[in-house]
Amino acid sequence: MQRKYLLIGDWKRNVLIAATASCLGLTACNNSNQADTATSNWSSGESYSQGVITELTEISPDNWKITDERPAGAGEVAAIVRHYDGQVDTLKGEALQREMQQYASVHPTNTNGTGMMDVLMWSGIGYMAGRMMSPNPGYYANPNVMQRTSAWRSNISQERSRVSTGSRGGTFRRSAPSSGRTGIFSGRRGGFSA
Amino acid sequence: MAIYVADPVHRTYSAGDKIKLIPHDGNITTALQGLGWNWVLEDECINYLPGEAVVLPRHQADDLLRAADELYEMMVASIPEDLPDDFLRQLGVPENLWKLVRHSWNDERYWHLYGRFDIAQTPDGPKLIEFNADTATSIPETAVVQWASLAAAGKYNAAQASGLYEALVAQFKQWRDMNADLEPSLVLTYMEASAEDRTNCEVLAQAAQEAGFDTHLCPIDQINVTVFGEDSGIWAQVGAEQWQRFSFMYKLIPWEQLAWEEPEVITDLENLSFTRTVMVANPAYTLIFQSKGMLAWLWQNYPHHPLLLETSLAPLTGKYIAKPFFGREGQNVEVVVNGESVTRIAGEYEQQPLVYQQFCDFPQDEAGNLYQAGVFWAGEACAIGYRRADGIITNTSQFLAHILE
Repeated sequence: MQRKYLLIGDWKRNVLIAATASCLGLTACNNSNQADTATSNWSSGESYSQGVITELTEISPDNWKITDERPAGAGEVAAIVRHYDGQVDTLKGEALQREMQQYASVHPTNTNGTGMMDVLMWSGIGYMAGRMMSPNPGYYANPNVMQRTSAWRSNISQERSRVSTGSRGGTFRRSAPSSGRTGIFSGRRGGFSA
Repeated sequence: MAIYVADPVHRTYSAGDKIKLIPHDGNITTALQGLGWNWVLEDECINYLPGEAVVLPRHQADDLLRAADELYEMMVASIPEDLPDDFLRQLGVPENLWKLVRHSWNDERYWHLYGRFDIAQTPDGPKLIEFNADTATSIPETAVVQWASLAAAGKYNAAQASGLYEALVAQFKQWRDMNADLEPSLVLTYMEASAEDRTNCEVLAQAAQEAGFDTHLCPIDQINVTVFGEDSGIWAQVGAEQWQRFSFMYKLIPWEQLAWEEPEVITDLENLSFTRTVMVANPAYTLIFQSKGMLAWLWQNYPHHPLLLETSLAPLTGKYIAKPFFGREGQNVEVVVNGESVTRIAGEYEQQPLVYQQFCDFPQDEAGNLYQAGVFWAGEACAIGYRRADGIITNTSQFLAHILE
Protein backbone atom coordinates (compact mmCIF):
# COMPACT_ATOMS: atom_id res chain seq x y z
CA MET A 1 0.00 0.00 0.00
CA GLN A 2 1.36 3.40 -0.96
CA ARG A 3 1.54 5.59 2.13
CA LYS A 4 0.53 9.23 1.97
CA TYR A 5 3.50 11.19 3.20
CA LEU A 6 3.21 14.92 3.17
CA LEU A 7 5.58 17.49 1.81
CA ILE A 8 6.56 20.22 4.28
CA GLY A 9 6.34 22.85 1.53
CA ASP A 10 2.69 22.09 0.88
CA TRP A 11 1.16 24.54 3.34
CA LYS A 12 -2.10 24.84 1.51
CA ARG A 13 -3.01 21.28 2.41
CA ASN A 14 -5.21 22.20 5.35
CA VAL A 15 -6.53 25.23 7.13
CA LEU A 16 -4.49 24.75 10.32
CA ILE A 17 -1.25 24.32 8.44
CA ALA A 18 -2.12 27.37 6.35
CA ALA A 19 -2.80 29.43 9.49
CA THR A 20 0.47 28.29 11.02
CA ALA A 21 2.35 29.07 7.82
CA SER A 22 0.86 32.51 7.99
CA CYS A 23 1.99 32.95 11.61
CA LEU A 24 5.48 31.88 10.56
CA GLY A 25 5.43 34.54 7.88
CA LEU A 26 5.82 31.93 5.14
CA THR A 27 2.89 33.27 3.19
CA ALA A 28 3.43 36.95 3.88
CA CYS A 29 4.31 37.74 0.29
CA ASN A 30 1.43 35.97 -1.35
CA ASN A 31 -2.10 35.49 -0.20
CA SER A 32 -1.45 35.94 3.50
CA ASN A 33 -4.45 35.10 5.65
CA GLN A 34 -3.56 37.85 8.01
CA ALA A 35 -3.04 40.51 5.39
CA ASP A 36 -6.42 39.60 3.95
CA THR A 37 -8.31 39.65 7.17
CA ALA A 38 -6.56 42.66 8.57
CA THR A 39 -7.73 44.73 5.66
CA SER A 40 -11.23 43.44 5.16
CA ASN A 41 -13.22 41.18 7.48
CA TRP A 42 -12.37 42.76 10.75
CA SER A 43 -12.81 46.40 9.91
CA SER A 44 -16.49 46.91 10.49
CA GLY A 45 -17.49 43.46 11.62
CA GLU A 46 -20.18 43.63 8.94
CA SER A 47 -19.67 40.04 7.93
CA TYR A 48 -20.55 38.85 11.45
CA SER A 49 -23.82 38.97 13.33
CA GLN A 50 -22.07 40.56 16.33
CA GLY A 51 -19.32 43.07 16.90
CA VAL A 52 -17.24 43.72 19.99
CA ILE A 53 -16.28 46.63 22.23
CA THR A 54 -12.94 46.36 23.98
CA GLU A 55 -11.63 48.59 26.74
CA LEU A 56 -7.86 48.93 27.01
CA THR A 57 -6.20 50.55 30.02
CA GLU A 58 -2.62 51.75 30.37
CA ILE A 59 -1.87 50.27 33.80
CA SER A 60 1.61 51.81 33.91
CA PRO A 61 3.44 53.74 31.19
CA ASP A 62 3.24 51.72 27.95
CA ASN A 63 1.92 48.67 29.77
CA TRP A 64 -1.61 47.96 28.58
CA LYS A 65 -4.22 45.43 29.59
CA ILE A 66 -7.66 44.53 28.34
CA THR A 67 -9.85 45.66 31.24
CA ASP A 68 -13.28 45.11 29.74
CA GLU A 69 -14.70 43.46 26.68
CA ARG A 70 -18.25 42.74 25.61
CA PRO A 71 -20.10 41.65 22.50
CA ALA A 72 -21.85 44.41 20.60
CA GLY A 73 -24.34 44.72 17.76
CA ALA A 74 -23.57 43.80 14.18
CA GLY A 75 -21.03 46.19 12.69
CA GLU A 76 -20.12 47.70 16.06
CA VAL A 77 -16.38 47.32 16.61
CA ALA A 78 -14.62 49.79 18.87
CA ALA A 79 -11.73 50.15 21.30
CA ILE A 80 -12.10 52.44 24.31
CA VAL A 81 -8.57 53.51 25.14
CA ARG A 82 -7.77 54.74 28.67
CA HIS A 83 -4.33 56.35 28.80
CA TYR A 84 -2.16 56.47 31.92
CA ASP A 85 -2.56 60.25 32.11
CA GLY A 86 -6.34 59.92 32.30
CA GLN A 87 -7.11 60.74 28.69
CA VAL A 88 -9.78 58.52 27.12
CA ASP A 89 -10.10 57.94 23.36
CA THR A 90 -12.36 55.79 21.28
CA LEU A 91 -10.96 54.10 18.22
CA LYS A 92 -13.41 52.83 15.64
CA GLY A 93 -14.27 52.73 11.97
CA GLU A 94 -11.61 53.94 9.57
CA ALA A 95 -9.31 55.22 12.30
CA LEU A 96 -9.20 51.78 13.91
CA GLN A 97 -8.78 50.13 10.55
CA ARG A 98 -5.87 52.42 9.68
CA GLU A 99 -4.12 51.75 12.99
CA MET A 100 -4.50 48.01 12.58
CA GLN A 101 -3.31 48.02 9.00
CA GLN A 102 -0.25 50.01 9.94
CA TYR A 103 0.51 47.68 12.81
CA ALA A 104 -0.09 44.56 10.71
CA SER A 105 2.26 45.76 8.02
CA VAL A 106 5.07 45.93 10.59
CA HIS A 107 4.00 42.96 12.73
CA PRO A 108 2.42 40.26 10.60
CA THR A 109 1.96 38.16 13.73
CA ASN A 110 1.09 39.01 17.30
CA THR A 111 3.98 39.97 19.54
CA ASN A 112 4.83 39.67 23.19
CA GLY A 113 4.78 43.45 23.57
CA THR A 114 2.59 45.32 26.05
CA GLY A 115 2.05 48.44 23.94
CA MET A 116 -1.45 49.57 23.11
CA MET A 117 -1.59 48.05 19.63
CA ASP A 118 0.24 44.89 20.73
CA VAL A 119 -2.46 44.30 23.31
CA LEU A 120 -5.31 45.37 21.05
CA MET A 121 -4.28 42.68 18.59
CA TRP A 122 -4.74 40.09 21.36
CA SER A 123 -8.26 41.36 22.11
CA GLY A 124 -11.59 40.38 20.64
CA ILE A 125 -10.95 42.92 17.89
CA GLY A 126 -7.76 41.06 17.01
CA TYR A 127 -9.68 37.81 17.15
CA MET A 128 -12.18 39.10 14.58
CA ALA A 129 -9.24 40.07 12.41
CA GLY A 130 -7.96 36.50 12.55
CA ARG A 131 -4.83 37.44 14.51
CA MET A 132 -5.01 34.34 16.69
CA MET A 133 -7.10 31.24 17.21
CA SER A 134 -7.61 31.61 20.93
CA PRO A 135 -7.03 34.48 23.31
CA ASN A 136 -4.11 34.75 25.70
CA PRO A 137 -5.15 35.36 29.31
CA GLY A 138 -1.90 37.24 29.92
CA TYR A 139 -3.27 40.23 28.03
CA TYR A 140 -6.42 40.46 30.08
CA ALA A 141 -6.63 42.22 33.43
CA ASN A 142 -8.16 39.05 34.86
CA PRO A 143 -9.66 35.78 33.60
CA ASN A 144 -13.23 36.98 34.14
CA VAL A 145 -12.81 39.69 31.56
CA MET A 146 -11.65 37.12 29.02
CA GLN A 147 -14.51 34.83 29.94
CA ARG A 148 -17.08 37.51 29.08
CA THR A 149 -16.44 37.03 25.39
CA SER A 150 -15.88 33.28 25.25
CA ALA A 151 -19.37 32.54 23.93
CA TRP A 152 -19.02 35.43 21.51
CA ARG A 153 -15.73 34.03 20.20
CA SER A 154 -17.35 30.70 19.67
CA ASN A 155 -20.09 32.38 17.59
CA ILE A 156 -17.54 34.23 15.50
CA SER A 157 -15.66 31.01 14.93
CA GLN A 158 -18.82 29.21 13.89
CA GLU A 159 -19.89 32.00 11.57
CA ARG A 160 -16.46 31.92 10.01
CA SER A 161 -16.79 28.22 9.30
CA ARG A 162 -20.30 28.65 7.91
CA VAL A 163 -18.96 30.90 5.19
CA SER A 164 -17.63 27.80 3.52
CA THR A 165 -20.14 25.19 4.61
CA GLY A 166 -23.42 27.07 4.41
CA SER A 167 -25.51 27.99 7.40
CA ARG A 168 -27.20 25.37 9.51
CA GLY A 169 -30.04 25.31 11.90
CA GLY A 170 -29.73 24.45 15.53
CA THR A 171 -31.79 24.05 18.65
CA PHE A 172 -31.50 26.93 21.08
CA ARG A 173 -33.11 28.22 24.25
CA ARG A 174 -32.56 31.27 26.42
CA SER A 175 -31.52 29.43 29.56
CA ALA A 176 -30.26 26.03 30.59
CA PRO A 177 -32.89 23.33 31.08
CA SER A 178 -33.65 23.45 34.79
CA SER A 179 -33.68 19.70 35.40
CA GLY A 180 -30.28 19.08 33.85
CA ARG A 181 -27.13 17.76 35.48
CA THR A 182 -24.15 20.11 35.66
CA GLY A 183 -20.79 20.33 37.38
CA ILE A 184 -19.41 17.05 36.07
CA PHE A 185 -15.90 16.55 37.53
CA SER A 186 -16.11 20.01 39.07
CA GLY A 187 -14.06 18.80 42.04
CA ARG A 188 -11.19 17.54 39.92
CA ARG A 189 -8.04 19.39 38.99
CA GLY A 190 -5.88 18.82 35.94
CA GLY A 191 -6.50 17.13 32.65
CA PHE A 192 -6.40 13.61 31.39
CA SER A 193 -3.57 13.84 28.88
CA ALA A 194 -2.37 10.48 27.75
CA MET B 1 2.64 7.46 27.62
CA ALA B 2 5.03 4.91 28.93
CA ILE B 3 8.66 4.50 28.11
CA TYR B 4 10.75 2.64 30.60
CA VAL B 5 14.28 2.53 31.81
CA ALA B 6 17.11 1.73 29.46
CA ASP B 7 18.92 -1.38 30.49
CA PRO B 8 22.64 -0.70 30.09
CA VAL B 9 23.49 -4.39 30.34
CA HIS B 10 21.25 -5.57 27.58
CA ARG B 11 21.92 -2.94 24.95
CA THR B 12 22.33 -4.91 21.77
CA TYR B 13 21.94 -2.18 19.18
CA SER B 14 24.34 -1.89 16.34
CA ALA B 15 25.05 1.57 15.04
CA GLY B 16 22.48 1.00 12.34
CA ASP B 17 19.72 0.73 14.93
CA LYS B 18 20.48 4.05 16.54
CA ILE B 19 18.02 6.86 16.20
CA LYS B 20 19.51 9.47 13.90
CA LEU B 21 18.97 13.14 14.60
CA ILE B 22 19.46 16.30 12.60
CA PRO B 23 19.75 19.72 14.13
CA HIS B 24 17.63 22.49 12.64
CA ASP B 25 17.19 26.15 13.41
CA GLY B 26 13.48 26.51 12.89
CA ASN B 27 11.96 28.82 15.48
CA ILE B 28 8.24 28.38 15.89
CA THR B 29 7.75 30.53 18.96
CA THR B 30 5.87 33.24 17.08
CA ALA B 31 3.71 30.70 15.29
CA LEU B 32 2.74 29.00 18.52
CA GLN B 33 2.02 32.31 20.19
CA GLY B 34 0.04 33.38 17.15
CA LEU B 35 -2.10 30.28 17.46
CA GLY B 36 -2.47 30.87 21.18
CA TRP B 37 -0.68 27.58 21.91
CA ASN B 38 1.77 28.97 24.43
CA TRP B 39 1.44 25.90 26.62
CA VAL B 40 3.59 23.98 24.17
CA LEU B 41 6.50 26.21 25.17
CA GLU B 42 5.77 26.68 28.84
CA ASP B 43 8.57 25.82 31.24
CA GLU B 44 6.49 23.66 33.51
CA CYS B 45 5.46 21.41 30.68
CA ILE B 46 8.13 21.29 28.03
CA ASN B 47 6.10 19.31 25.56
CA TYR B 48 8.03 20.18 22.52
CA LEU B 49 11.74 19.85 21.96
CA PRO B 50 12.97 22.37 19.45
CA GLY B 51 16.16 22.31 17.45
CA GLU B 52 16.33 18.60 16.64
CA ALA B 53 14.39 16.19 14.48
CA VAL B 54 14.41 12.41 14.17
CA VAL B 55 15.51 11.19 10.76
CA LEU B 56 13.17 8.33 9.99
CA PRO B 57 13.98 6.01 7.08
CA ARG B 58 10.92 5.69 4.85
CA HIS B 59 10.79 1.92 5.15
CA GLN B 60 10.65 2.24 8.94
CA ALA B 61 7.80 4.73 8.65
CA ASP B 62 6.03 2.22 6.37
CA ASP B 63 6.60 -0.48 8.99
CA LEU B 64 5.20 1.65 11.81
CA LEU B 65 2.07 2.63 9.91
CA ARG B 66 1.52 -0.92 8.68
CA ALA B 67 1.93 -2.19 12.25
CA ALA B 68 -0.76 0.19 13.53
CA ASP B 69 -3.22 -0.88 10.83
CA GLU B 70 -2.56 -4.53 11.48
CA LEU B 71 -2.81 -4.16 15.26
CA TYR B 72 -6.15 -2.41 14.91
CA GLU B 73 -7.51 -5.22 12.76
CA MET B 74 -6.17 -7.81 15.18
CA MET B 75 -7.87 -6.10 18.12
CA VAL B 76 -11.24 -5.88 16.38
CA ALA B 77 -11.04 -9.49 15.20
CA SER B 78 -10.13 -10.79 18.66
CA ILE B 79 -13.18 -9.36 20.42
CA PRO B 80 -15.73 -12.09 21.17
CA GLU B 81 -19.23 -11.63 19.85
CA ASP B 82 -21.72 -10.10 22.29
CA LEU B 83 -18.95 -9.18 24.69
CA PRO B 84 -19.52 -11.80 27.41
CA ASP B 85 -19.42 -10.71 31.06
CA ASP B 86 -16.23 -12.67 31.69
CA PHE B 87 -14.46 -10.86 28.89
CA LEU B 88 -15.43 -7.38 30.07
CA ARG B 89 -14.56 -8.33 33.65
CA GLN B 90 -11.16 -9.65 32.58
CA LEU B 91 -10.44 -6.32 30.88
CA GLY B 92 -11.47 -4.38 33.97
CA VAL B 93 -14.29 -2.51 32.23
CA PRO B 94 -16.40 -0.99 35.05
CA GLU B 95 -19.69 -2.86 35.30
CA ASN B 96 -21.82 0.27 35.08
CA LEU B 97 -20.41 0.82 31.58
CA TRP B 98 -21.21 -2.62 30.20
CA LYS B 99 -24.55 -1.58 28.68
CA LEU B 100 -23.02 1.38 26.86
CA VAL B 101 -20.00 -0.66 25.77
CA ARG B 102 -22.21 -3.37 24.27
CA HIS B 103 -24.68 -0.93 22.78
CA SER B 104 -21.94 1.06 21.04
CA TRP B 105 -20.10 -2.08 19.87
CA ASN B 106 -23.24 -3.47 18.23
CA ASP B 107 -24.18 -0.27 16.41
CA GLU B 108 -21.69 0.84 13.78
CA ARG B 109 -22.91 4.43 13.92
CA TYR B 110 -20.77 4.73 17.06
CA TRP B 111 -17.60 5.72 15.31
CA HIS B 112 -14.11 5.38 16.71
CA LEU B 113 -12.60 8.69 15.62
CA TYR B 114 -8.96 8.15 16.48
CA GLY B 115 -6.42 6.62 18.83
CA ARG B 116 -2.65 6.42 19.27
CA PHE B 117 -0.52 3.29 19.32
CA ASP B 118 2.66 3.61 21.38
CA ILE B 119 5.25 1.46 19.68
CA ALA B 120 8.86 0.50 20.33
CA GLN B 121 11.06 0.05 17.27
CA THR B 122 13.23 -2.95 18.06
CA PRO B 123 15.76 -4.95 16.04
CA ASP B 124 12.91 -7.49 15.67
CA GLY B 125 10.57 -4.88 14.24
CA PRO B 126 7.86 -2.72 15.80
CA LYS B 127 6.37 -3.92 19.11
CA LEU B 128 3.13 -2.69 20.62
CA ILE B 129 3.57 -1.10 24.03
CA GLU B 130 -0.03 0.07 24.44
CA PHE B 131 -2.97 1.61 22.60
CA ASN B 132 -4.44 4.91 23.77
CA ALA B 133 -7.80 4.32 22.15
CA ASP B 134 -10.10 6.54 24.17
CA THR B 135 -8.50 9.89 25.00
CA ALA B 136 -5.13 10.11 23.23
CA THR B 137 -3.48 13.52 23.19
CA SER B 138 -0.49 15.15 21.41
CA ILE B 139 -2.75 15.96 18.47
CA PRO B 140 -1.46 19.54 18.02
CA GLU B 141 2.16 18.43 18.20
CA THR B 142 1.64 15.61 15.71
CA ALA B 143 -0.64 17.42 13.28
CA VAL B 144 0.82 20.93 13.34
CA VAL B 145 3.82 21.63 15.56
CA GLN B 146 6.19 19.11 14.02
CA TRP B 147 5.26 20.33 10.58
CA ALA B 148 5.82 23.94 11.65
CA SER B 149 9.25 23.31 13.09
CA LEU B 150 10.54 21.93 9.80
CA ALA B 151 8.72 24.58 7.79
CA ALA B 152 10.32 27.28 9.95
CA ALA B 153 13.70 25.66 9.26
CA GLY B 154 13.04 25.99 5.54
CA LYS B 155 12.95 22.25 4.86
CA TYR B 156 10.18 22.62 2.30
CA ASN B 157 11.17 19.60 0.23
CA ALA B 158 11.22 17.19 3.16
CA ALA B 159 8.39 14.76 3.79
CA GLN B 160 6.70 13.77 7.03
CA ALA B 161 4.13 11.26 8.23
CA SER B 162 1.84 13.86 9.75
CA GLY B 163 -1.50 13.46 7.98
CA LEU B 164 -3.50 13.36 11.22
CA TYR B 165 -5.63 16.42 10.56
CA GLU B 166 -6.74 15.24 7.12
CA ALA B 167 -7.60 11.80 8.50
CA LEU B 168 -9.61 13.39 11.33
CA VAL B 169 -11.65 15.42 8.85
CA ALA B 170 -12.48 12.21 6.97
CA GLN B 171 -13.44 10.47 10.22
CA PHE B 172 -15.72 13.30 11.33
CA LYS B 173 -17.37 13.30 7.88
CA GLN B 174 -17.99 9.59 8.13
CA TRP B 175 -19.41 9.97 11.64
CA ARG B 176 -21.71 12.75 10.49
CA ASP B 177 -22.87 10.86 7.37
CA MET B 178 -23.69 7.74 9.36
CA ASN B 179 -25.83 9.80 11.72
CA ALA B 180 -27.47 12.08 9.19
CA ASP B 181 -30.74 11.90 11.13
CA LEU B 182 -29.16 13.97 13.92
CA GLU B 183 -28.47 17.69 13.89
CA PRO B 184 -24.74 18.10 13.10
CA SER B 185 -23.95 20.04 16.27
CA LEU B 186 -20.89 18.89 18.21
CA VAL B 187 -19.74 19.97 21.66
CA LEU B 188 -16.14 19.11 22.54
CA THR B 189 -15.57 18.75 26.27
CA TYR B 190 -12.41 18.73 28.36
CA MET B 191 -11.11 19.50 31.86
CA GLU B 192 -11.01 23.27 32.16
CA ALA B 193 -7.75 23.34 34.09
CA SER B 194 -5.79 21.83 31.22
CA ALA B 195 -4.72 24.18 28.44
CA GLU B 196 -3.16 21.18 26.74
CA ASP B 197 -6.42 19.25 26.67
CA ARG B 198 -8.28 22.30 25.41
CA THR B 199 -5.83 22.73 22.55
CA ASN B 200 -6.22 19.09 21.58
CA CYS B 201 -9.95 19.75 21.42
CA GLU B 202 -9.36 22.91 19.35
CA VAL B 203 -7.70 20.92 16.60
CA LEU B 204 -10.46 18.31 16.70
CA ALA B 205 -13.07 21.09 16.53
CA GLN B 206 -11.40 22.62 13.49
CA ALA B 207 -11.40 19.25 11.73
CA ALA B 208 -15.04 18.67 12.69
CA GLN B 209 -16.04 22.07 11.33
CA GLU B 210 -14.41 21.23 8.06
CA ALA B 211 -16.46 18.03 8.05
CA GLY B 212 -19.67 20.02 8.38
CA PHE B 213 -20.24 20.10 12.13
CA ASP B 214 -21.32 23.16 14.02
CA THR B 215 -18.83 23.01 16.91
CA HIS B 216 -18.47 24.43 20.39
CA LEU B 217 -15.70 23.94 22.98
CA CYS B 218 -16.83 23.65 26.56
CA PRO B 219 -15.29 22.50 29.86
CA ILE B 220 -17.06 19.32 30.98
CA ASP B 221 -18.26 20.91 34.24
CA GLN B 222 -20.19 23.54 32.30
CA ILE B 223 -22.36 21.31 30.13
CA ASN B 224 -25.95 20.58 31.08
CA VAL B 225 -27.15 17.00 30.65
CA THR B 226 -30.93 16.70 30.54
CA VAL B 227 -32.68 13.35 30.19
CA PHE B 228 -36.35 14.22 30.62
CA GLY B 229 -38.94 15.78 28.34
CA GLU B 230 -38.52 17.76 25.20
CA ASP B 231 -35.30 19.36 26.45
CA SER B 232 -33.52 15.99 26.52
CA GLY B 233 -29.97 16.33 25.34
CA ILE B 234 -26.63 17.91 26.08
CA TRP B 235 -26.71 21.69 26.35
CA ALA B 236 -24.01 24.32 26.51
CA GLN B 237 -24.12 28.08 26.73
CA VAL B 238 -23.04 29.58 23.42
CA GLY B 239 -24.02 33.22 23.92
CA ALA B 240 -25.60 35.71 26.26
CA GLU B 241 -28.91 34.10 27.20
CA GLN B 242 -28.38 31.49 24.52
CA TRP B 243 -28.03 27.76 25.14
CA GLN B 244 -27.64 25.25 22.36
CA ARG B 245 -28.54 21.59 22.26
CA PHE B 246 -25.84 19.29 20.90
CA SER B 247 -26.52 15.96 19.27
CA PHE B 248 -22.87 14.95 19.19
CA MET B 249 -20.38 15.10 22.02
CA TYR B 250 -16.65 14.51 22.00
CA LYS B 251 -15.14 13.99 25.44
CA LEU B 252 -11.46 14.23 26.24
CA ILE B 253 -12.43 12.54 29.50
CA PRO B 254 -11.66 8.85 30.05
CA TRP B 255 -14.69 6.57 30.15
CA GLU B 256 -13.44 4.71 33.20
CA GLN B 257 -13.06 7.94 35.20
CA LEU B 258 -16.63 8.90 34.33
CA ALA B 259 -17.79 5.43 35.34
CA TRP B 260 -15.96 5.54 38.68
CA GLU B 261 -16.43 9.15 39.69
CA GLU B 262 -19.64 10.23 37.95
CA PRO B 263 -21.82 7.10 37.74
CA GLU B 264 -25.02 9.17 37.38
CA VAL B 265 -23.62 10.68 34.21
CA ILE B 266 -23.18 7.18 32.80
CA THR B 267 -26.86 6.49 33.48
CA ASP B 268 -27.78 9.76 31.75
CA LEU B 269 -25.60 8.98 28.75
CA GLU B 270 -27.15 5.51 28.50
CA ASN B 271 -30.54 7.14 28.41
CA LEU B 272 -29.50 9.67 25.76
CA SER B 273 -27.74 7.01 23.68
CA PHE B 274 -30.54 4.45 23.74
CA THR B 275 -33.02 7.12 22.65
CA ARG B 276 -30.69 8.27 19.87
CA THR B 277 -30.60 11.76 21.31
CA VAL B 278 -26.82 12.05 21.59
CA MET B 279 -23.84 10.30 20.00
CA VAL B 280 -20.65 10.29 22.07
CA ALA B 281 -17.11 9.80 20.80
CA ASN B 282 -14.86 8.09 21.27
CA PRO B 283 -17.50 5.39 21.82
CA ALA B 284 -17.65 3.47 25.09
CA TYR B 285 -16.32 0.30 23.44
CA THR B 286 -12.94 1.97 22.92
CA LEU B 287 -12.35 1.30 26.61
CA ILE B 288 -11.89 -2.35 25.60
CA PHE B 289 -8.95 -1.33 23.41
CA GLN B 290 -7.70 1.15 25.99
CA SER B 291 -7.55 -1.36 28.85
CA LYS B 292 -4.07 -2.79 29.20
CA GLY B 293 -5.82 -6.07 29.93
CA MET B 294 -6.28 -6.08 26.15
CA LEU B 295 -2.52 -6.55 25.74
CA ALA B 296 -2.75 -9.88 27.58
CA TRP B 297 -5.89 -10.80 25.62
CA LEU B 298 -4.06 -10.11 22.34
CA TRP B 299 -1.09 -12.30 23.31
CA GLN B 300 -3.51 -15.04 24.30
CA ASN B 301 -5.21 -14.81 20.89
CA TYR B 302 -2.08 -14.24 18.81
CA PRO B 303 0.73 -15.90 20.78
CA HIS B 304 4.23 -14.96 19.57
CA HIS B 305 2.83 -12.56 16.99
CA PRO B 306 5.78 -10.45 15.75
CA LEU B 307 4.06 -7.13 16.65
CA LEU B 308 3.38 -8.18 20.23
CA LEU B 309 5.38 -8.50 23.43
CA GLU B 310 4.47 -11.38 25.69
CA THR B 311 1.88 -10.06 28.11
CA SER B 312 -0.01 -11.85 30.83
CA LEU B 313 -2.32 -11.26 33.77
CA ALA B 314 0.19 -13.16 35.93
CA PRO B 315 3.83 -12.20 36.56
CA LEU B 316 6.31 -13.38 33.91
CA THR B 317 9.84 -14.64 34.37
CA GLY B 318 13.03 -12.74 33.60
CA LYS B 319 12.66 -9.03 33.04
CA TYR B 320 9.23 -7.55 32.69
CA ILE B 321 7.06 -4.50 33.30
CA ALA B 322 4.02 -4.46 35.58
CA LYS B 323 1.51 -1.76 34.74
CA PRO B 324 -2.03 -0.88 35.83
CA PHE B 325 -4.97 -1.53 33.48
CA PHE B 326 -5.90 2.13 33.19
CA GLY B 327 -2.67 3.89 34.13
CA ARG B 328 -1.54 7.07 32.41
CA GLU B 329 1.77 8.81 31.88
CA GLY B 330 3.78 5.90 33.21
CA GLN B 331 2.31 6.15 36.71
CA ASN B 332 2.58 3.04 38.93
CA VAL B 333 4.71 1.27 36.35
CA GLU B 334 7.23 -1.15 37.80
CA VAL B 335 10.23 -2.87 36.24
CA VAL B 336 10.90 -6.34 37.64
CA VAL B 337 13.98 -8.50 37.09
CA ASN B 338 13.93 -12.12 38.26
CA GLY B 339 11.15 -11.37 40.69
CA GLU B 340 12.77 -8.27 42.15
CA SER B 341 11.50 -4.76 41.62
CA VAL B 342 14.25 -2.57 40.14
CA THR B 343 12.25 0.54 39.36
CA ARG B 344 8.89 1.70 40.52
CA ILE B 345 7.13 4.91 39.59
CA ALA B 346 4.69 6.46 42.02
CA GLY B 347 1.18 7.29 40.96
CA GLU B 348 -2.52 7.33 41.63
CA TYR B 349 -3.41 3.99 40.04
CA GLU B 350 -2.15 1.73 42.80
CA GLN B 351 -5.47 -0.01 43.36
CA GLN B 352 -5.88 -1.20 39.78
CA PRO B 353 -5.29 -4.72 38.46
CA LEU B 354 -1.98 -5.19 36.65
CA VAL B 355 -0.75 -6.65 33.41
CA TYR B 356 2.74 -8.01 33.04
CA GLN B 357 4.54 -7.23 29.80
CA GLN B 358 7.89 -8.55 28.66
CA PHE B 359 10.55 -5.83 28.97
CA CYS B 360 11.56 -4.20 25.72
CA ASP B 361 14.46 -1.90 24.91
CA PHE B 362 13.56 1.30 23.15
CA PRO B 363 15.87 2.57 20.42
CA GLN B 364 18.42 5.18 21.48
CA ASP B 365 20.35 8.03 19.97
CA GLU B 366 24.12 8.53 20.40
CA ALA B 367 23.52 10.27 23.72
CA GLY B 368 21.53 7.37 25.12
CA ASN B 369 18.08 9.02 24.97
CA LEU B 370 15.19 6.62 24.46
CA TYR B 371 12.59 7.05 21.72
CA GLN B 372 9.00 5.90 21.54
CA ALA B 373 6.92 6.23 18.37
CA GLY B 374 3.32 7.37 18.75
CA VAL B 375 1.43 6.17 15.68
CA PHE B 376 -1.96 7.78 15.22
CA TRP B 377 -4.80 5.76 13.82
CA ALA B 378 -7.84 7.66 12.51
CA GLY B 379 -9.66 5.23 10.23
CA GLU B 380 -6.20 4.19 9.13
CA ALA B 381 -2.67 4.74 10.38
CA CYS B 382 -1.98 8.34 9.40
CA ALA B 383 0.76 10.03 11.42
CA ILE B 384 3.86 9.47 13.54
CA GLY B 385 5.18 11.53 16.43
CA TYR B 386 8.22 10.82 18.59
CA ARG B 387 8.60 11.17 22.33
CA ARG B 388 11.95 10.91 23.97
CA ALA B 389 13.36 10.61 27.46
CA ASP B 390 16.81 10.34 28.92
CA GLY B 391 15.84 7.78 31.52
CA ILE B 392 12.57 6.93 33.13
CA ILE B 393 9.70 8.55 31.36
CA THR B 394 6.60 9.72 33.07
CA ASN B 395 4.73 12.79 31.93
CA THR B 396 7.80 14.86 31.23
CA SER B 397 8.86 13.27 27.97
CA GLN B 398 9.41 15.58 25.07
CA PHE B 399 7.94 15.64 21.63
CA LEU B 400 10.26 15.72 18.61
CA ALA B 401 9.55 16.39 14.99
CA HIS B 402 10.57 13.78 12.45
CA ILE B 403 11.69 13.97 8.87
CA LEU B 404 11.53 11.12 6.36
CA GLU B 405 14.63 10.01 4.56
